[in-house]
Amino acid sequence: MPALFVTGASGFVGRRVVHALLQAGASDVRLLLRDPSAFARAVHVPVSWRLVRGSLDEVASWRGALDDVHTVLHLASSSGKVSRAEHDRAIIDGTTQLLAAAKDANVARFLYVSSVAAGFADRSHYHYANAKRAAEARVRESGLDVLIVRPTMVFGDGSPVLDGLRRLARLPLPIVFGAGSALVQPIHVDDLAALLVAALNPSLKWNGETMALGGADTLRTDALLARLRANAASTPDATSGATSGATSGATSGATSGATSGATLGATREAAARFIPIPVDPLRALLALVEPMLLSVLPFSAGQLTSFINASDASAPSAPSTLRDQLWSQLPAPVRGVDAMLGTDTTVAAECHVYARYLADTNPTPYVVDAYARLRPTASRSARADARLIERSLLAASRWGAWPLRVADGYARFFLPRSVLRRRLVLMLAILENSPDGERQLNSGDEGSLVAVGARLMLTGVASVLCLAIGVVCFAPFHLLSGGDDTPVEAAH
Amino acid sequence: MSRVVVVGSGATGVHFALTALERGHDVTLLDVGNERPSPVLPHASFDQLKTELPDPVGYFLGERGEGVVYPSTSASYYGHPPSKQYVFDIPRGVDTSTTAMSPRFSFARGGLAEAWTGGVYAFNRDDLAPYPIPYDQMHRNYEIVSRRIGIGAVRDDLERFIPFNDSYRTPLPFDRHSQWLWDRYHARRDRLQASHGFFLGRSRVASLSSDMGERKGCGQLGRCLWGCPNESIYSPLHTLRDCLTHPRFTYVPGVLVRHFEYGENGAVTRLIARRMDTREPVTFDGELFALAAGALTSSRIVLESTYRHTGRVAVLPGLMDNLQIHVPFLTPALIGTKVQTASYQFHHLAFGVTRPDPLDYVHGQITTLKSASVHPIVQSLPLDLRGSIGAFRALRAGLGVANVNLADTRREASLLTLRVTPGAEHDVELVVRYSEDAAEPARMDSAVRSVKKALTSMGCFVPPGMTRVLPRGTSVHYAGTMPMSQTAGEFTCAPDGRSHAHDNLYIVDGASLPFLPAKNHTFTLMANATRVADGLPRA
Repeated sequence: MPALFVTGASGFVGRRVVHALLQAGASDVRLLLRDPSAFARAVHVPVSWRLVRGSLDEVASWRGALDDVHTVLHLASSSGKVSRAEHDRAIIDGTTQLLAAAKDANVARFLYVSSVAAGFADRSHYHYANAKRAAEARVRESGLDVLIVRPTMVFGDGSPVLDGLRRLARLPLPIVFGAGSALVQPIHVDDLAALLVAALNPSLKWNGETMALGGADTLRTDALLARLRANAASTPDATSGATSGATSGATSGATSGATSGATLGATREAAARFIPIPVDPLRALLALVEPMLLSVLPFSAGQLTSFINASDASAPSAPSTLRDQLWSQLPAPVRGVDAMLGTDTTVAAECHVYARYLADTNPTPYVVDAYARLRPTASRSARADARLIERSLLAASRWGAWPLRVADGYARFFLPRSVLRRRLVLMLAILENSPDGERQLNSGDEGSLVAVGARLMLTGVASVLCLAIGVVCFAPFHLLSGGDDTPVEAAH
Repeated sequence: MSRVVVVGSGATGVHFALTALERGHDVTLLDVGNERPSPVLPHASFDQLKTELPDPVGYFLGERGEGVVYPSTSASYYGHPPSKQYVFDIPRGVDTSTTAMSPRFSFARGGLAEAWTGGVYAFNRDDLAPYPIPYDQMHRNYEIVSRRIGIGAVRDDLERFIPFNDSYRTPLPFDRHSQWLWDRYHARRDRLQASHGFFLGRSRVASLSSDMGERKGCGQLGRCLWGCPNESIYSPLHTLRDCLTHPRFTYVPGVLVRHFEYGENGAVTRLIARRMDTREPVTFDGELFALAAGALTSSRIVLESTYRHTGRVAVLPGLMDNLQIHVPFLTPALIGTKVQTASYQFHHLAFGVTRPDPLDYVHGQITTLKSASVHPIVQSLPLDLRGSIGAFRALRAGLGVANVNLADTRREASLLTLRVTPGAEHDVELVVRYSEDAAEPARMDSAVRSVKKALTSMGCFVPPGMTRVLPRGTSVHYAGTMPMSQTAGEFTCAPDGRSHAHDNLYIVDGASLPFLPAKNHTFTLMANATRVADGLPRA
């Protein structure tokens, strides 16, 4: 990897980028830091790296550090609740100074980490978004070989955005700003860091692209808030198997409609439970008082604005071959919402019901983690998951082992490639390869032909009965469902 | 002695190289050479891996869950595990488009045999009748190869179809199910042979029952499909190791040979390759050249060379591959007995079904279920998963699969050619077009019917509707595109393997076979490669 100069290394994303660079074995890296000694105490960097003291508003003191640098990775920014002037200074002026210094030092490439907010249609009172947008323009005009990355919401341990949303989700009343229908596509900070490091590969052509980066799942804002509320509400201990599976299934039944891979259709139930707070009047009010009271306000007008804009990575232009190339270089697929919010208790509950159904066992944390990691998430076309029959099967499967068997039996014959079957097959595959489940699945029935045959008959009769019940229960939903049964491959 | 440059480290390349070294030639072997990862926990059995590995799910299913077999329209009973992915990884820029076939390529060190099941079956006089070489020549080389690789076999009813020789060693011991089938066959063999033309014998397998050199005898660990840590199952890597002990051998991994250049008289002057790490071009010259990159890739090299020299896109007709049919069956007598997962996993039994025309002889192998990936099988049973698991557990000890292979012949419409896109970075793409023989469905039905009847006669139950014809290309027995022939054609080769178009170029792999009997052809490939190397001119 050629010589790299990084700003913003001590920030939320920056720290994970540093981690990714260390993992990638990058040798010539220079970090611009206000407090290099504090950073060095927290992070062990190789001796070949340089920690450069300075800030973007006094370039003269550190411009020498740009000599022989090939690529600048510019992460430094203001964020959150600061004044417009501060945003402009940190973002627009800071970027302009950095670009000028980079050009003087003959830096070849410049990777600017902007924000999806820069592309928002409605940016009124959102000074952060406007500043990012202006800075992007400067980057484009600079004449350097540039790549502009617009991450969507960045989640992970210590994510300011996620903390804010969690605070909102924990309010006694389920409120959402705006209609709650705006799409979000959160990305995990480690995935973002991995993608940025991958983008630094000198053989990849940037072509001045502006590229939005999001995670595996796209969902409505209210669905995300519903997930966060469910996480906050459920008990952390979900080891009591089928019973808690049933109860948490019932309480989060409506909200966990969103957990089945973030479907657009299923979240209508979730949306119905939220109280929408109109944004425009609130925003106007905040904008009025901000200059005086910003420090005591819970959030700024601009932060409200993000609730009513689409924050998914579909703009400025999908599809992007560069983005596809970067995705293909990740060791594991980009995380979805389930993976980012911790093993969701509803996922854990699902795992428990499935394990009891398949192997009469409670899954160990190892199994639950493997399942959460590999669980089929939304297909690129969410349409299939949103079909009534798929949702009905998944809903029934949460009620316990017997309803699950009925749903499974129906799906085996009438919807063999449904999400329910895919998840059950995955669970089976994990169980047969893990210490607790393998005993049951890697042995056979022993005994006389008569004894084994009798057990086999009982099992067969039970299956036939479940199938009969399944036909009665699910056929109506299947007939009412639109779309066809051709398989949609999940995004793995 | 001559300087010989060989392309490919698979089954044919390594045996050709070793014989050439033994005759005194200098040999350079060029290879892409994707490497096998070291085996995990070499002493653990299949079950022990699941309890002792820190991340068994990662090992068996892959980091991204790529080893999970999900329901799909074209599920087959076994695929390859993530630990064998290196065998099938294809370098960038090697593009192929296919019609009516799903071919596999390997750029691994050791080639496709790194993922084989070890069946080695000598062709008899009938099989070799269409070949322009005397039977004794091939027979002699079967023996040489057998001593090198270690083959377990006994004299049995298949001997008349699969010639025996004294180099064969003690085979692996049967598992209970295979033993039962063997006993039942012998109790009824006259009827089976007379009514169905069905003959059963032991698989001839390149797997050691006792130590040989650096390789250990089979430890019954049951990990065969995932990679044998004892090296009991033969791999071309073992012969490559032998080559490396010769001072006149040079192994060059990390290069992908694209084509060769030749002079006006047709003599090959040098090979043009590309380094895998830097993508820089690199050339290799020599006196004699041997293509052992596999029928498809060797053909591709020849096609690309012709294109670059003349601008013409040639066509190589006659592509063959064996059709493979899986016939699952159940032996009720074994239901309720103990399941043996720590046991040699692959087939112990082979069978043959005679036909009026000896060239139509049907060959097969029977694999009884021992250790296995359970979820692909369970999801295909016609019950909900809980019921299917119960059924699978009940029936497991008696489950088996008969794998039926049919012969294939060269036909004009099955061919290899190129698609060129001048100016593009990768301007040449291999086109694989297979065309089914119109008579084959009838041959297949008749063969499968005989096998089913034989199994039923032996006391097995063959569930209806579960027979599966595997996609063409699954056998990975590609052959026939540059066949050996007495009469010189444009892309044929002489009986001694020398190309008719380029007299210092030898076709060493399956491309040179003029007919593909039903028997797995790997043994014949290795014997033929040895034969060709033996016949190299001593300069």
